Amino acid sequence: MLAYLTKSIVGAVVVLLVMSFIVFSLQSIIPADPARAVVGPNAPLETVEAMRKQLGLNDPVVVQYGRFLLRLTQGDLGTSVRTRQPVSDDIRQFLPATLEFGLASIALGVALAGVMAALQFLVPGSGGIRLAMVGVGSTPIFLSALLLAYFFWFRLDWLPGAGRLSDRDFAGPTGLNVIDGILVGRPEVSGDALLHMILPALALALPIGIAVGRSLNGALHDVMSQAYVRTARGKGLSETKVLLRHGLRNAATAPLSMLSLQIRLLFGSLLVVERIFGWPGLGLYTVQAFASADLPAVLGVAIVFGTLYILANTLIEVGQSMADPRISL
Amino acid sequence: MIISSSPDTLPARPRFDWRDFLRRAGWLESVGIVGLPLVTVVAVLAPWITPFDPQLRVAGAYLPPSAGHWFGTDEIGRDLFSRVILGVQYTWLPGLAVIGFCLIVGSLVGLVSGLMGGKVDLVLARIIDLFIVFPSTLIALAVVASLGPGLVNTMIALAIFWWPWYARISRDDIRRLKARPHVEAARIAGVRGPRLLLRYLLPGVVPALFIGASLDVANVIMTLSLMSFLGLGLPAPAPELGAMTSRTLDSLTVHWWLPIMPAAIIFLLCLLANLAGDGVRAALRGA
Repeated sequence: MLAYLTKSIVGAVVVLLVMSFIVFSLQSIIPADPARAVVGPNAPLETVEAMRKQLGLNDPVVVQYGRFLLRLTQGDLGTSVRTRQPVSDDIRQFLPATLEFGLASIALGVALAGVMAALQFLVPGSGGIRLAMVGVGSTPIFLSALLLAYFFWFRLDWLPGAGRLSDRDFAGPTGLNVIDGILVGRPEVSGDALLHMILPALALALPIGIAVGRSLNGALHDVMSQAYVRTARGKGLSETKVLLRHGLRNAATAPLSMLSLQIRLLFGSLLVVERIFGWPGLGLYTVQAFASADLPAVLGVAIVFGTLYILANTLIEVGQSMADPRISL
Repeated sequence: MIISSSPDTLPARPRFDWRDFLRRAGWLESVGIVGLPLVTVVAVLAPWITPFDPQLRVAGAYLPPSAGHWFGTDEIGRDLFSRVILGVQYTWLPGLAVIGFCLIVGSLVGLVSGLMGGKVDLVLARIIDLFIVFPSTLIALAVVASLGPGLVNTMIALAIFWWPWYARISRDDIRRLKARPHVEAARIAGVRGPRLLLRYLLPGVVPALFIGASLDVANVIMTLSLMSFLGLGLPAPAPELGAMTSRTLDSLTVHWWLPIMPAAIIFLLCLLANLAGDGVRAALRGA
C-alpha cells in the first residue's frame, strides 16, 4: 500500500509537471504579450518593456517555468488577466460550485449505470434499449444539455435551469450549498440547491451512465456464466446474493476503468454544461478565460483539474483492487 | 541447400464480399457503414450542393423551419439548412483528418516500439502511457487556448493527445503477433525486414486498428465540436456546427431551431459513426 501510494504520488507529480510544462511553454512561444495585456493597449513601448522586465518575460522559457514552479509551491498561480485577481483566489471562489456539481454528476452517473445494466440484464437482447443507448451515447453534450433546459425548465417549468440557487445572496461556510444549508440550519436552501443541480447533473451523468452501464452489463454477462457462479447457485444462495456477492464484485473492474475514462472526458463537458446552465463554477470561469485569452487562469485551472483527475483515478484504482484482490496496487 | 522462402504459394486472397460484411455487421449498423461515405461525399461537395448561398440573406430573419427553408433562417435571413450543410464540411473533414493522422503516427510508433523491443520499447511505452493518463481533453483545450483559437490549432492539439491510443493498440498487437507460430515459421524460413512486416505482421494488426479508428470517429467529431462550442474553433462567420449552437444559445427560448438544428446534425453524424463502428467491429471480430 505504501509503495503504491509513493508510486502514484510520484506519477501524479510527473504528469502534472509535463502537463504544465507543455501548456506553459506554448504560452511563451505565442505572440500574445502578457506585458501588453497588463499595461493596456495604449501604453508606450517603454512601459511595456519595463513591464516585460518586471514580469521576467525576457528570460529563457526554462527559467520562467522554474520561477512558475517556485511560486506554485507557495500556492501562487499568478494573476488573472481578466479578473485582475490572483488566480488562486479565483479558483478558491469557484471551485466549490464545481466540486459539488461534479460529484453529484458522477454519483448520478453511477446510479444510472446500475439502472441501465439492470434493465439490460432483465430484458436481454432488446434492440430498443440498444438503439436508445447508442443514441444517447451519440448525443453531443451541448445538445442534451440544451434539450433538458428547453423542456424541463423553459417549456414545462418543472425544474430550475439557471444558476445554483434562487436566493443569490446566500453564502455558506464551505461553499457547497447542499451542505451549507444544513450547517446554517436552513434545510430549504439545501433542497433548493439540489433542485438546481438536477438538470445540469443529469446532462453530465447521461454519458457516464450509458458508457459505464454498457461496460457493466458486458462484464456481468461474462461473469454470470462462470463456473464459480454456478457453484454459488448450486450451494443454494439466493439469486440476489449470487448477483451481489459473486457477480457484481467480479464484474467491477472493467466498468470502473470505464468510469475513470469518463471522468477524464467530464472536464470538457463540464465547461459546456456550466456555460449552458449559467452555473457559476470553475468551468464557466474557464470558458470566460478562453474568451479573453486569460492564460494564467487557463494554466491554473488545468493544474487544478489535472490534480482532481489524478486523485479520482487513484481512488478508482484502489476500488478496483478492493473488488478484485488479484489486482495488486 | 536453398530454403525456399516463398510465401507466394499462399492461396490467393479471396475477394472482399460486401454483402457478407454487411450481413455480419447487422442491418442497423449497415445503415451507418453505408451512411459514412455518403456523409463524406456531402462534406466534400458541401459548397456546391447547398440549396441556397449560405453566406447571403435569402429570406426574412428568424423564419421557423418550413418546406422552403427546412431548418428555418437565422438572424440575418440566411438559410440555416445550407449553413448546416457547409458546417458538416467544417466538422467532418477535420475529424477524418485527425483520425487519419493519429492512425498513421500512432500505428508507426506502436510498430517501432513493438518490433524493436528492448530499450526503445521501454521508452516509447512509457511515453504512450504518460499521454494516456493525461486528462487529454482538458490539456487539448488549454493548448488551443494558448495557441489561439482556430481550426488548425484545434486539430493539432487534438491529434497530439489522440495518437497514443493507436500506438497502444498496434504495439500490443505486434507484441502478441511476434510470438505466434506463423511468424516464427516465417523467420526460420528466412523472411526478414519489410517483407516480414508487410506480409506476416501488418495483416494481423490492421483489423484492430481499423476497429479502433471506426469506433473513434464519433469521439473525435464530438470533441472537435465541443471545442468549437467553447469558442476555440474558427472565428465568427464560419459555420462550424458547435460554434453555431454556442453563438445562438441565448435564442433557445425564442428561436429554438437556431441552436438545436446544428447540434442535431452533430448528433446524426455521431450516431452514424457509432453505428458504423459497432458494425465494423461485429463484422471483423466475427471473421
